[in-house]
Amino acid sequence: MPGLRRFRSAGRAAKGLGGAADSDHNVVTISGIGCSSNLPGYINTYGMHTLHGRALAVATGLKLANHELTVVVTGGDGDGFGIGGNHFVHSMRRNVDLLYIVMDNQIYGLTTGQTSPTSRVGMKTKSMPFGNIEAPVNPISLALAAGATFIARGFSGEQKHLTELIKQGIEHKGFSFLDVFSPCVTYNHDNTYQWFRPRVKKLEDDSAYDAGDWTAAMEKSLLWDEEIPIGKFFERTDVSTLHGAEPVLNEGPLVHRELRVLRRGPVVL
Amino acid sequence: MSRWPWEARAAGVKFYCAYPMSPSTGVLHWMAAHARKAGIMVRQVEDEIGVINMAIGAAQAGVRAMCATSGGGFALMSEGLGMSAMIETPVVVINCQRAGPSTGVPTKTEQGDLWQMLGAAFGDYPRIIAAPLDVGDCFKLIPELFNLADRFQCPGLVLCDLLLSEGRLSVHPNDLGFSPPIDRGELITAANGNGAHSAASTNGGYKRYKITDSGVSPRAVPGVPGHIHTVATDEHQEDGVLISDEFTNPVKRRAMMEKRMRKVAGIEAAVPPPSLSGPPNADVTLIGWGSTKGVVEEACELLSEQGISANQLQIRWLVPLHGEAILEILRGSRHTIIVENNYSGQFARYLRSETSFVPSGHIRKYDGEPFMPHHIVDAVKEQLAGSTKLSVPMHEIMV
Repeated sequence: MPGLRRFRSAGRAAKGLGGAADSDHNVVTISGIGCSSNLPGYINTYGMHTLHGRALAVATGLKLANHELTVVVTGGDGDGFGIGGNHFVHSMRRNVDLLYIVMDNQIYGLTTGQTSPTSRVGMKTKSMPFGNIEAPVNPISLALAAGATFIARGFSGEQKHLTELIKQGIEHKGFSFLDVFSPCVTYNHDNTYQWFRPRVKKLEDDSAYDAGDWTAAMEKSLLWDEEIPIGKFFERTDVSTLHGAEPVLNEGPLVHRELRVLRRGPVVL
Repeated sequence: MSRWPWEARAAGVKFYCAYPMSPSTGVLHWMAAHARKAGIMVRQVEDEIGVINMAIGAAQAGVRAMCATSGGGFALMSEGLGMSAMIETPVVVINCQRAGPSTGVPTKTEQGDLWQMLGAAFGDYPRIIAAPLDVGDCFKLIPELFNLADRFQCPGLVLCDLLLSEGRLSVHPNDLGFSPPIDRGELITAANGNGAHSAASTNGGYKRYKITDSGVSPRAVPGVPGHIHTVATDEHQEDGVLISDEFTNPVKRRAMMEKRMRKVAGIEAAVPPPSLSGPPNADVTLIGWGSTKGVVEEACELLSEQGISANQLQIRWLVPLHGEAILEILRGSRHTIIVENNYSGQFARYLRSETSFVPSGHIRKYDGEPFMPHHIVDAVKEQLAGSTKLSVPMHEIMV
């Protein structure tokens, strides 16, 4: 895994957590599998290193069983948009209250360099040596369409900016999606730090941009090549979280409840 | 109405999730309708991969979590079962068998998933597989299985079939234990205070995967101070740190593998061996597993009325099987016939692989319908007469 230590957002995540979470033992960091997904082992919170693509499903169950925990899910583009694509879409429409950080390097790094769902058309990899002919997924547009209530994009070359987005994502009540450009210095020779730096442009620098405007966010999400927006694309706070909408949880987290409530009464079968 | 949901409630299940799949959907419907009153979180998930992972996530937070499906959905859950075993987070999964393979015969019954259950997920890991004997037994089994899964921190699997999950039968309420004993094993929660006094700054020296004689390591759930750790699907050392990639360590790998597999002996000791019912020294011993209990029992009675004494060995725990005890029982049998609802004799092959035991004959059925008593009676008579060793009764009624 030569690229593993290059994922600078790992360190950023820890910083963001320090600012937003009350204490470490009430935070759970849950990952899938990939270069991105060793992160739970590097920071001082409860952690789960789960299966490739399944972190969001695991996180949903954990959050519903104890919604007092702060849940951060980390993964990569292959993990989240490829093998885990189904859970990604459904977790967003459910508005599960967690922060999902995708370290998006547009390549499969752990498996030594194959095309990923966010690889650009034409990119040559070991699995597509003559160039990728498939259109990449647009994670921001997809998140907007699927109903995520906080959607942002960061760049591992903009660490202060990224830290701020992580904090906001944790504080947001609902599904927070944070796509982070995290160039793989080993296997992605197209989308490098040098490639991103002149292109990324912070949405926060545009005073006219309104992150409450879904249509404007969708338009911004389509920009690529010349200008690539980073920052908070969209946020809405008028949608109930999944745990907030579930009356079974009115009496508090499941994990703190009396184990057995069944009483022998008139048998209704 | 299947008895599954009632027993789950009696067992203290707090989280149930599923993807609709016949013939397991009745469980979802009952759970959903009674969720709020029973204080159970019920979720319909996007697919069975999501189901098993969501259930394991809930279990990791510290609640008892369960899900049910049929063969196709169970196939999708395989990788998740391996995770449950590797991170040592218990989960209970019910497979209500339909007739397979593939979409198969969704509204008909079969006992065709035994080897799928035995082989689900790659690698060696401790698992428990139980086949309830009748509708009332479904009620008793789930609390027992949860206690075992919690104690041994591994997946607990239930192999039932449409005959039980959609079958209707009256059960006297007095036969149902509404307050079965609950044993959550070595669980450290904020509520039970086990972890409250540990030093948070030093993490209390807690090791999630501490190597023990029993193979079981005390399990702390997130939210407990002083027990911070990461559970890992990659092979890991005692504190949960991964050892599978650049730090691969054969000594540690072997130690962890042996730690997990030591649980198998504990599970075996905790589960009773099967026993023979009916007269000893019978003319024929009928061996069945799971849902065929009732029909085999009735066949034995009919045979006895016709002057052929028959007894029954019905298997409820498939893993652990207690092969030695089974051999000991069958050593005294004159003529042995394995009765099962599938084409290839899956249990017969399993029993042979575990014990080298070869029965005198087989009665099998794979037309989607369950056995009727006369199917077994007629087959036993033709086999005792020596005309065949394999009987496949024809289902006379079109349903």
